[in-house]
Order: sequence, then C-alpha cells, then structure tokens
Amino acid sequence: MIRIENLQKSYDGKPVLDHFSLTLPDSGIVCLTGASGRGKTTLLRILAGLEPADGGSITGLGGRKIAFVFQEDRLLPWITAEQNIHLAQPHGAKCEVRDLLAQAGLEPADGQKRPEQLSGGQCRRIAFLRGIGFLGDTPDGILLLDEPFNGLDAAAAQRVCQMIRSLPNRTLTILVSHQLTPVQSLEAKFFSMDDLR
Amino acid sequence: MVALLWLLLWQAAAMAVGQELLLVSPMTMLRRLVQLVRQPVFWQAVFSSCGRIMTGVLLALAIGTLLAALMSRFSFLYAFFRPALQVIKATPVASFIILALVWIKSYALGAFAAFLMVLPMVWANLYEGIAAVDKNLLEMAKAYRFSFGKKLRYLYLPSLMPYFAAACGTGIGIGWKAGIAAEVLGLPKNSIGKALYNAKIYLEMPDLFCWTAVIILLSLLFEKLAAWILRALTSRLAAEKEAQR
Repeated sequence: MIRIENLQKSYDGKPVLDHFSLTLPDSGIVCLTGASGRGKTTLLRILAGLEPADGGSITGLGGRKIAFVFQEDRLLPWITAEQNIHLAQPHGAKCEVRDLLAQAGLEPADGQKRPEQLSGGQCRRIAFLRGIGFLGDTPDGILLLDEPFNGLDAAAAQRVCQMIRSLPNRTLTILVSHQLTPVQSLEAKFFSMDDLR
Repeated sequence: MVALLWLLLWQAAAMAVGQELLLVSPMTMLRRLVQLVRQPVFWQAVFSSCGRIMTGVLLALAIGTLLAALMSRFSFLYAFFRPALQVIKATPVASFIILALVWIKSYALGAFAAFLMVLPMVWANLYEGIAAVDKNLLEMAKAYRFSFGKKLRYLYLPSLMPYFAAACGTGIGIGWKAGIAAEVLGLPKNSIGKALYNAKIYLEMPDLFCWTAVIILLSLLFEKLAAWILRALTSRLAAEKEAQR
C-alpha cells in the first residue's frame, strides 16, 4: 500500500493540501477526482518527486520507477515525435517506438514530425507514449497521468485506455481527469479529493 | 540591386565634390585595391589582424559562455562578476586600449580589445538565454531523469543556439571595430590598424577607403562563416541522432 499521511502543501501561504491523507493500492488504476484547485496536480507532483511537501509523509513508494505525463505535453520542439519518446526510454528498451506509435493509433510518418507539425491530440498521445516508454519493461512502475485525454477524440482516448489496461499487472496508474467517459472504461478506483480534505 | 544604387550615389557624390582628397570615388578605390592585393604586405596585414582579432573574439565567446553558465548556476559568482562585467561594458574602448598599451605588447592589443568588448556582450546574451530556458521542459527532463549530457544536448544547446548565434553575429562586428581601433593606437607591425594610421598620416584617402572596405568585408566574412558553422553544427547534431536510431 502507498500511504499518504497528513500531507501539507501551500503556495504563497495558501494551503492546497491541508493534512491530506489517502491510502492507495500498490497496483491497478486509480482516478483522483475533485474540483479545480483541490490539489490533484500538486499531489501528483509530490509523488513524482518534483516538489517537496511542507509536511506529512508518503510511504510505500520504495524506489519504484515513476513516469509523469504532465498536463501540458512538454515535448522538445526541435526534435521529432519519435525522438521525444526515444529519449525517455531506458537503454536497451525492448519496445520499439514504432510499435508504441501504432498502438496509440499513430502512423510511422507521424513519428518523423516535430511537435509543431502535429495536432494537439497527436502531441498528447506522444507525451503519453513518452511516459510509457520511460517505464519500459519495469514490472512495478507508477504511471502518473494528468489529464491524459485532453484533446483526444473518442477513438484515440480508447486506444490510450487500452494501453493503460495492457500495462504489467503490478503497475500502479494514478490519473487525474475531468473526462469521465474514457475513465469509466478503465474500471478505475475513484478517490474524490473533495471528500478527503 | 540596393548595393548598386548606393555605389551609384557614392560615385555621383564623388563627382559632385570633385576632390579625391575629400571623397574618393568607388572606381579610384577599386583601382587602389587591385594594386594593394598584389602586394605581400597587404596579405601579411590581413592575416595578422584576422589572427589577433578573431583570437580575442573566440576567447570572449568561450569565456563569456562559461561565465554565463557558472553565474546562472552559482549566485555568489553572479554577485561577484556582474559589477565587473557592467563596468567593462560601460568603459570606452579607448580607455582600455590606452591602459593596455602600458600593460601588454602592442601585437596583443587587438586581441585584448576585441576580447574585452565582446566578453560582456556574450555573457549578457547567454545569461539571458539560460534564464529563458523553458522551465516546464527542465522539469520534464528531471522527471524523465535526463543525464547532464542529454540535458545539455537536447535542451540547453537548442534553446541557447539563437542567443549564441546573435552573440557571434554582433560580437564579431564589435570585435573588429575594437580590434582595429586598438591597432590604430598601438601600431603593431603588419596590421590593418597601422595601414589605416599610415593612410591618415600621409593623407592617402584611397588607401583609407580600401582598408575600411577590407575591414567591413572581413567582418562580414567571419559573421557569415560563424553562421554557417553554427548551422552545420545544429544539422550535424540532428543527423547524428537520426543515425543512432
């Protein structure tokens, strides 16, 4: 179990996470819901180690590999989509970037384009594939997804869901999304941050 | 086409003035230039000045870049070096040259002046460039555990390339101006600056125009060369990545 206890985080004196506690399973798919400003993204950032908490503790991560798909795509604009994914992959990764592209419904030619030449939905999928590529063959990785379905049509969102479902059994996927239709197909466990404050 | 128009205007102005001592015509300048390029001493001056001035510019590019990187990383270095760089930036080049005449040999003066004038500009450009690197991309690189080399090559270098290219372009121009000014005051042997000085002393206006044109051409040539090298480097980095795949 991953235990989050009494987590506190403030920005400019304004508390975003105020003695927040939550227990997450070691694996499976978890969806964090809640109104804007409830600290969902902040919690993901703390879990990813990108920000320190002001107080409280998180136990159970135990050095697991964590991939973070940010709310913004954050793709390197001067290299191709394929290179963006390839750069995040560990050395000797078995999964070919082209296979990942195909699974997400993207053409090999799309992989040769730079982000500026791709649509918003295509960039979103490249950012998602970068996270998947980063985890590589890790059996018990943690995938943090911040609004992964933004800009995706129903078919593309379903492909992304299919890839999430195909991750190794011991993977924990934590996602934040305002789009509940694709999330429902994931049979995720829901945690409302409105109730947990 | 525009250049031709300016040449015609220059020719017309020279004809209107009617005195070569006041305004040399383009044809007179061209004839004198043909004579000059046939003399070995012309090439000695060109190569010596190029060597000195470009040494100063290259050193300024290297040290300015290094300083910008270190000052971005360590705030105490920023606090220490920033006033010095601002003083150098604001000091007239002539003051430095006269001071340097006491400190160093005249043959090194061109390099020294070019270095001093270009250094703060390179530093300022690169420092601004480093501060402007996209914070979201830096955070992404941290999340995906990019090594230092990977960050340098795929994040910092492409982000800083426009700032570095601008520093090179402007720096070469400034370097030539400062370097030649230093040579005119220091009069090192075999230098364009000394040739300019002699043209002034002996009122050789065609020589003055010729050497000025040579300086402008050399400055432009090195600017174009720097731009070409930077473009080639950028494409090579991309091609290497492509080949690795």
